Amino acid sequence: MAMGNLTELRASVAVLCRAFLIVFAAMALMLAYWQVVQAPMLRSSTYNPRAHERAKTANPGSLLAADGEPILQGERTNRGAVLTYADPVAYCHLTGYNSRTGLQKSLHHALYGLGRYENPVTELLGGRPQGCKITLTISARAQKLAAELMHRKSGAVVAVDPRDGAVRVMVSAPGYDPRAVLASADAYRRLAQDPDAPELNRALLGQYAPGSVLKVFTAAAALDAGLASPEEEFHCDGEVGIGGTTIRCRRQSGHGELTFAEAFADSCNVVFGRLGAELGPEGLADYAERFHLLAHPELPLPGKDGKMAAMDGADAEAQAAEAGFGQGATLVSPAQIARMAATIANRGEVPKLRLVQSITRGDGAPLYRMRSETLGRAVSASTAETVTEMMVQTVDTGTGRRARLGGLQVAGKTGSAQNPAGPAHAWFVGFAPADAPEAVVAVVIEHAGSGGEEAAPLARRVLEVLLEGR
Amino acid sequence: MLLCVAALITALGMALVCIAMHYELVRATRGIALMAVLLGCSLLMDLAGSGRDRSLLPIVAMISGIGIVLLWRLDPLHASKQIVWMMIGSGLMLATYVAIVDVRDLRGLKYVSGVTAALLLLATMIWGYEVNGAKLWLNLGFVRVQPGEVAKILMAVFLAAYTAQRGEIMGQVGRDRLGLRLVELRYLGPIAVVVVFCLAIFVTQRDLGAAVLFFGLAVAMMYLGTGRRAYALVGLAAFAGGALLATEMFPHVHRRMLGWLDPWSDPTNAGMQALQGMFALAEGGLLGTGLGQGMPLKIPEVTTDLIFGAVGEELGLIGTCGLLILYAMAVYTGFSIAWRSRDRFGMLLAAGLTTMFGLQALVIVGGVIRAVPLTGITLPFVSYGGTSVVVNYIAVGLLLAVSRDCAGPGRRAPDGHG
Repeated sequence: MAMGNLTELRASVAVLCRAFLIVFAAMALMLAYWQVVQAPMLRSSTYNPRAHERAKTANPGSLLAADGEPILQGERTNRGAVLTYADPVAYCHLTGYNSRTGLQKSLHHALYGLGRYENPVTELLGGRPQGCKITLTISARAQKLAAELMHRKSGAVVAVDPRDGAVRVMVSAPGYDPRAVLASADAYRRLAQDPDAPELNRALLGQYAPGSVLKVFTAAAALDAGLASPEEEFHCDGEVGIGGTTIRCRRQSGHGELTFAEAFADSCNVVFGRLGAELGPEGLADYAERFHLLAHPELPLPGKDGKMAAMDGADAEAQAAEAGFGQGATLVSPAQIARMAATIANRGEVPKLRLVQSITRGDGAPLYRMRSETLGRAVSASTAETVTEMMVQTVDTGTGRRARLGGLQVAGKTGSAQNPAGPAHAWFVGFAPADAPEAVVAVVIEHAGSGGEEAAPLARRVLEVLLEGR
Repeated sequence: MLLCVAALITALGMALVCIAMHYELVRATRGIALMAVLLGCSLLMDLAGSGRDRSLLPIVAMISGIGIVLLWRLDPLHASKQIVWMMIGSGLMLATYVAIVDVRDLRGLKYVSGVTAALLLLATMIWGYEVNGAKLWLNLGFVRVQPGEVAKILMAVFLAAYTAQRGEIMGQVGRDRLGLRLVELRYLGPIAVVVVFCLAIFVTQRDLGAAVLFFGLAVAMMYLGTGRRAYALVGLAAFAGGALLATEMFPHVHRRMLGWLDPWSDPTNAGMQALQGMFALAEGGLLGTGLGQGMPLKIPEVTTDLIFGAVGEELGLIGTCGLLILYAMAVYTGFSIAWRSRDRFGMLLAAGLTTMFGLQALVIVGGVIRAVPLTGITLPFVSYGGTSVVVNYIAVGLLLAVSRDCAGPGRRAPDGHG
């Protein structure tokens, strides 16, 4: 065998050896990436069983309402770390019933003081983790009142402070007792299989036809696009044919001659159907985008995007007309409707919704404090003011009269949303005081019929509590 | 003398585990017994002939020691069994080293080893014993063995012998086509047949890790045999194509790929193993929790496939990098044995065995840190597994035999106890 070949082979061996050593070095770098750089992320993953093991040894923290009233109280007993529910049913959809549901899941590490919520010195010394004090933006009094008012009903109440997006009330009905769920497999099965779906948080996951409450959005879009002005005259014959479909007004005989503001106050489908068609698929999609109308609320609880008809093909015009008064394929959650109204109340800027006000570590170190943030401008401030005026008129003289509050001007809009499952859903969305809004309330009561009759009075009582002591 | 250092560190590690886990301290003497056996083997090899490599055995002993300490902490019962396997393995290493008068004689066993490897795999396919959905074991009544592990060595011998004989022809007699010198089929034929056969068995047996090892070995040998990087590149391209095809064809391969590329999309199922391994690594951080202080038993398959995760959790980045350095040292030593060899077959055999060893470490470590998809293979000398340990020791015996028989007179390492 020629020596030349052996030398060649030897060179190849050296190349192979070098390649191996380079890969080994690359592996070491990658190890450093996972073990040091990405370690905090991996350590605080909810799928990491170590966190759950460590949580069992923790002194759990507490979950409080904005006014300091407890929602979940953590305690160390001889059975380990225990959380007690202060008012189980009123807060059930916020707390969830175990560490894999509700805020007990999303705020797990804060509640038990794990990962980045742990005092690094305690962690190093292997001491008992100390849970955080978590304060929510929820108003305890308004939450409890809303839960009480929704008793034996199905639906949801969401209240928001339009100035900073703080969620003040989030009630979904029917509720359930989280303490009872884990009592037995049977109790859990009953909850999971209940046809009324009490486990479902309708405030965020409910998908309702908004009906006429969506006219707030259509009116703002039409005004902002210059397609209408409050005093502009319209005509309603009780029905109108658009793009092959017939749109009927709630007044069969028609409104006759009426201004845009009157059409809003008396919820005229003919006028809003026409405006929907005039805005067209592009206009509606554009303003829906600007309002973040259908966007996921991005709270630390499961949420969902809303839906609107695709508005393409031959039916595009008819679908746009139906979307103009909140029917057709449009589906939204009560939280999305609350944010829509909060945008008007916030002079046209979309507030980012918030549920957690502050997180304080067990040793008192502040870890998180809510800051108000806006998602962008939906319409001009003057458009928002005009819509507010029209909403005030709706409560003063139109369909929303039962939301009137003595001494405070309320702006609102009712809805009675047709749906395939039965009688109309009763809707109301409104805010007060109209000149400097501090609270927005959205109410939906499933299959209750008229929004003005059923939802508006309930919203009024929640607003009253929220604005008390001003 | 280096072996004594390894023995000391192992004994210390085992004592630490005993204290941390509240075991009786006397039981740690088993680890010392293993080190004594290794030292004995080293001395006996000196009697059998001089001139072998001096650093490989201490490195392997150190890795084995770390492996035993970890298994001892994870599962003392398995650790005790593993110590016995390691003793048997070192005995066979000694036997291999002594029995082979001249390693070049193995060339004659070219086809015997190739066919035996294929038959072993075929037997597993037919009479295989299934554990965790993979049919990798043969039940011999008193003991279960993994023929696939044995086939690794046989395949390395076959490929080395074949390449030593044909490699030059493969590299030089070929026609230029597509800018690449294509080798005539009759030279590639047997190699391709055996490789395809093994790969087919491994893919149908769901042992993806071993399939990767065999393929990698074949590509490395082709490269060495011809000296052309084009072969390595074509091999890697073929491998990527094959991986894509397998992902499309087999649901279990698809799951593995998903668990690698996006474990968060299915964290409790397809991505579970990958994520649990990474959680363990993250838990260890820079310094580790300390032996007995972490929760490595939360990791699935922690004594075998994912044992590297336990290293990361309890010994930290320091421990994982230390182990990687030991593997790199072993690989470097293996290749330098090849490099020093003055015989074509010896060089190819040493390089092949080292490639097998290095690839195995890289594929499983890479799997745990998500550099490559996670596959079910052992971390050499650390993971629990009798056949794997024994076969790896025999491979060390072969490497030492190569270092004894093939180093040129001028290049022989100075004598002296390692």
